Amino acid sequence: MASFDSLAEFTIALVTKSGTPIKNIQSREFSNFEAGQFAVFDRKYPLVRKRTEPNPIYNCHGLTFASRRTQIFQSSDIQIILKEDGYTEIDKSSVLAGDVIVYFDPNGDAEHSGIVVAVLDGPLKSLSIVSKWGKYRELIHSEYDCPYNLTNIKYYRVTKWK
Amino acid sequence: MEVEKLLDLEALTESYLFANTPGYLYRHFRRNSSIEQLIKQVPIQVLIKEYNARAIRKELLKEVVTAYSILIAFTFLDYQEALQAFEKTNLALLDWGNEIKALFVFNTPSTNSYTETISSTTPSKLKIAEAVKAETATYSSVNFKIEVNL
Repeated sequence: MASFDSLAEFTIALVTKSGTPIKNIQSREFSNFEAGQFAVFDRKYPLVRKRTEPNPIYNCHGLTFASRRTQIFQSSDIQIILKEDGYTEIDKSSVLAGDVIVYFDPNGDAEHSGIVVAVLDGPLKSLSIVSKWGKYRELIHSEYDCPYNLTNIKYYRVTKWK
Repeated sequence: MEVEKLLDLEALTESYLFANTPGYLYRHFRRNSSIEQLIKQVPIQVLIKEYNARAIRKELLKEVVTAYSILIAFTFLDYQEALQAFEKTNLALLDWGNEIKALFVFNTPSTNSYTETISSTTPSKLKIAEAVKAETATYSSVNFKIEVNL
């Protein structure tokens, strides 16, 4: 595990399938000790399942698009990844486990993303998501139980390989 | 001055922790009324000093949250005043310091301009307007009016 002792900021070589560089950072903005002090936030979302302890190294987009290695934080980079990695937007009625969910704010900021891990079919089609909330934990939560804008949710699947 | 005591630190810490993008942090911090109160209650020079001290130290999470709070507080100043405040802070000390400034500039278009009406008796100023690539340069028989996006 990486040391939290250094306050230096780190970035890694990260590119899309087409080779476009993606800006990223492995944040160190809080300590291991403080990461254990977040019970107050755990209580606010009692229905979510905690998967990991808090850590600032990667964020939701880092989980979804960079194998938990770093933070991707620019919305413009998310659009580049979706395009160059071969993602296609799909209708919610087609969503399967393994697809990607992205929460956009009304101005197009990709506030959040995650990976669909379960689909409960029915009239409302309930989705279960694994995602990371910023510098906080990885969590498993329902599609609508998270602190992000819920008005413009989109679903994606990699369908293009060349 | 205990800047932290003026802030709604629990809510701000939550927004900071959950932010995946600088845009999320920017929007949620600006919605927190304690940020706007901060800029009304504490002199700018004090805030700049407090920012630089906390952003260098970053020993506690609340220091990082307070440093971001100070940057967002600057966004409630007049455009030029805010830019001057940003200039005096070391934005690179925080992961998203430069992004916060960029969001402020991007989201403040209406005041992001300079307008001057120039008398036709001073045509040399028109050349200045042309030199700085004024967005609009209109003139009547009496006056020139230029608008420059800074």
